[in-house]
Amino acid sequence: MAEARKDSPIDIAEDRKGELLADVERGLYDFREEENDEDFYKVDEGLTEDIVRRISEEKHDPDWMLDFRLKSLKIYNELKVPDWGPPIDGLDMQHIVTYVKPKTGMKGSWDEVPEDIKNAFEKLGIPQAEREALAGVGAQYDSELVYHNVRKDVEAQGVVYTDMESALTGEYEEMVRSHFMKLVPPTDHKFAALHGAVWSGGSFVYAPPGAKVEIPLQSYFRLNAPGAGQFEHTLIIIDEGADVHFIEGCSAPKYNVANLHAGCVELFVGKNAHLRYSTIENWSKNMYNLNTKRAICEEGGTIEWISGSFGSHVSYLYPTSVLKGDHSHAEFTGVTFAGKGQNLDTGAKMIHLGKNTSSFIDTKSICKSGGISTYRSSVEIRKQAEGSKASINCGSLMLDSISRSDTVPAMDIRTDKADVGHEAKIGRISDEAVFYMMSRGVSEAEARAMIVSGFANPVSKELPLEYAAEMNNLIKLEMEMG
Amino acid sequence: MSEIRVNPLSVLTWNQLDLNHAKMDVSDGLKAESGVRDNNLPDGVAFKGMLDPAGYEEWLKANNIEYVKEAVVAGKYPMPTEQAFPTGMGAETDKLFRDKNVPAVLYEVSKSIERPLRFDYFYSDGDAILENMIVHVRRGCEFTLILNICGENGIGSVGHSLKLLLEEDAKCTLIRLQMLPAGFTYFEDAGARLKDRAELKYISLQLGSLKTYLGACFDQWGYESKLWAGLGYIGIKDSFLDYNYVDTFRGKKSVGVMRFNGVLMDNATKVSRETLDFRQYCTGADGDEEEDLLVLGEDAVNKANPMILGEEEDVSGRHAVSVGRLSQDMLFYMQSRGIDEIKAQELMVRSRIMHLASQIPDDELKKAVERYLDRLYCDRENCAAPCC
Repeated sequence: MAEARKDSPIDIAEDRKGELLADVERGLYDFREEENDEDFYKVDEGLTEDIVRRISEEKHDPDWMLDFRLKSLKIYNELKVPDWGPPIDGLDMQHIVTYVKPKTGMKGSWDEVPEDIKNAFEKLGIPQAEREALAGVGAQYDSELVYHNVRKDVEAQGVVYTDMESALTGEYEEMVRSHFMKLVPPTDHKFAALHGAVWSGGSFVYAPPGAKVEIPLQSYFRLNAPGAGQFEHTLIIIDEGADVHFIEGCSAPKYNVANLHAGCVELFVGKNAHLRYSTIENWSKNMYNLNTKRAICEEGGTIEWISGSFGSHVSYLYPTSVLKGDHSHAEFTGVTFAGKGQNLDTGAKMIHLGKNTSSFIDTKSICKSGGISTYRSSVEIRKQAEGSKASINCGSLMLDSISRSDTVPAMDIRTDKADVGHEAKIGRISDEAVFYMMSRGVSEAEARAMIVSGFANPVSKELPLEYAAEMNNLIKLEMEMG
Repeated sequence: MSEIRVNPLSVLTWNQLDLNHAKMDVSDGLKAESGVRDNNLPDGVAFKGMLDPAGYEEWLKANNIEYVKEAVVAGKYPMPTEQAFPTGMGAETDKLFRDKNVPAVLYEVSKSIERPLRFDYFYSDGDAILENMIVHVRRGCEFTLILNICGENGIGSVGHSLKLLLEEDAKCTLIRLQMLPAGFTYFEDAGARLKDRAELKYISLQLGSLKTYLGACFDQWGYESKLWAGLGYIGIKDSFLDYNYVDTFRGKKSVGVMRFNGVLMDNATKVSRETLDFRQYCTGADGDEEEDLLVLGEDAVNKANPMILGEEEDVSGRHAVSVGRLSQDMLFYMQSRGIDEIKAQELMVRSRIMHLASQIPDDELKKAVERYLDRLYCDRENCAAPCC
């Protein structure tokens, strides 16, 4: 069994004063609840067929899912680590615990959730957010959901919002089977295969034709165990004409051992349906975030991605939209903030298959204190996608000269009946803007923080108020670091 | 026939996009030409020798040019090629010239030359030729060089390599005009190093050949160095064009502008890599790059990777891409003045190419470009007018 390891005092002493301050202030996310073996079931470190079988057995998988896991493991062992992105040498699968299950079932009331776990979510403000602003909440702690609830009026519309295990073993098994990892097959890349082998937890949403969920559903993923991996699977199916906003939140305390997040999100957007998928990701800075998200839109369907990436040590994150149906539409709005010790490789992919499809990418990258931020994207317009339009805007803001910011966009256009526009800019905070604000009584630090918040405004304005405020706080926190 | 990797992308991306480099077939029969063109060299331009690999190394050493190992930055792998004098097509192209024993012809410009110097290259069926040249422009000298590459109908393979060293305050205009017949494979590689306040205007017009590979790497070492680079091209039928242009900013307040203007017709393919690379300490540098592509072929393929790499805060970098067809407003305007769609397309193609061609300081070559476009449209329209 892996033991919880403490941060080394020597490591902490080596940190600069400003970072100590920031770490204290990060307490909102960095608090830990010590886990003991009595309350948690864990598999051994590493990745073997035996471990995959044990996870499957523990989760009472149907036979087809066990087969799927074993095939995925085989693919994982055959595929190579990507050679084009940030280095992930520090990630050693032999020291990752792939399944940590709290010894509590999933509850429908916060009162029934064990005290220590409930405390964690209270500190993150999830129950309060549920009361005030959400139509449904799923809360995952390590590898399994510990709480799930959905409002009655949402249920009354026929909307299904449950955990993946319940969907897989209950009345939605066929729906899961016909959609699970069909958009992101295990052959897609090494960490998709890893996900296929050891996935656990996550949410299942089905919105029937015409359902309108006026306020968002949210899943919150908390990874508390040191040296563990989280591999939740989110499967959302929005039927014809339905409309849903789903919010995903992620955080973890900081340890001095590597943690891994290799989740998978598959979104099926039906004819004339609309789905907004918002993420505020604030993993701790020892996390390898190798997440895969993909959506497919039928005729007239719309997918909107709102993405704020603040945490993790290394991220590979490129939500993909497959515009299959004619007149379908995708938007990606994202902000990435890379601070010290972070290498965040983020962006989006758009694949136009249907006629008269359109896509829009608007991203902002900020880097500071030696952080590395890479915007990476691809826009593909296939031959049959006549009349398609794509627009890409990416802006990068560098806050010092020890950081790095790259934009690596790619385009592949196979029809003469398409219009594509792309614009990218890199620059710094203008001295004139800071001087102007300082001349009106704002301190330099505040002025710079305000300018950075303004730079990220395209994302925050798309989020519900509570989440926009959280994002702005994260930016402020990052600006105060160092 | 063997294959080499050329035009490496400065930062790798997804392998399935097939953009990280190009693969170029190399004919076994390729041989050195590198003829010395010392007839009528104007006063101030001198032929300084044929450099074999050892001579080239000595020349690099004499000019304090050495391989600068890239800082290994997490997230950015070192350039996949190692060259003391980087070129756009990369190290394997240099190696090809070494393996084929193609010496570099070294010219030195020690006085400002008012009249452009023009080298004409004419190729015939069956030619398989490599040309290798180094031009060293001394401090404060101004110089214009035109390389005019054309040939008669047939099948052939031609490769040109050029390295350009601009000393402090030197100014150089370099024009490469290629109008080879459709049976040829052509590649042109370039590397340029610009010292303090040096200025380079680099124009490449690619109108012919079946397969074309272009590489250019502009290394702006100097304080306040300036670059203006323009590439114009037409892709027709099943032609293939692959290019890699890199502008590396190292000197403070260096300014670089790159413009790419092209047309793809029929089932032509274009693959482009365009990079603005801001290195640490290039404070005040300003880079601007634009690609404007008109697609007129139903089966045309356009792949692009325009990148900005930044490891310096105090810079300004911008790139923009516009890919599309003729706008309906433009067509309507033309048609309302009696110009049909085909003619309107021709006008747009001509205007893009002639915009760059008009900057060639040689009337004869400007007319040659016009004639080439005339012929192109006559062929497409099967016309039998006198221009054919």
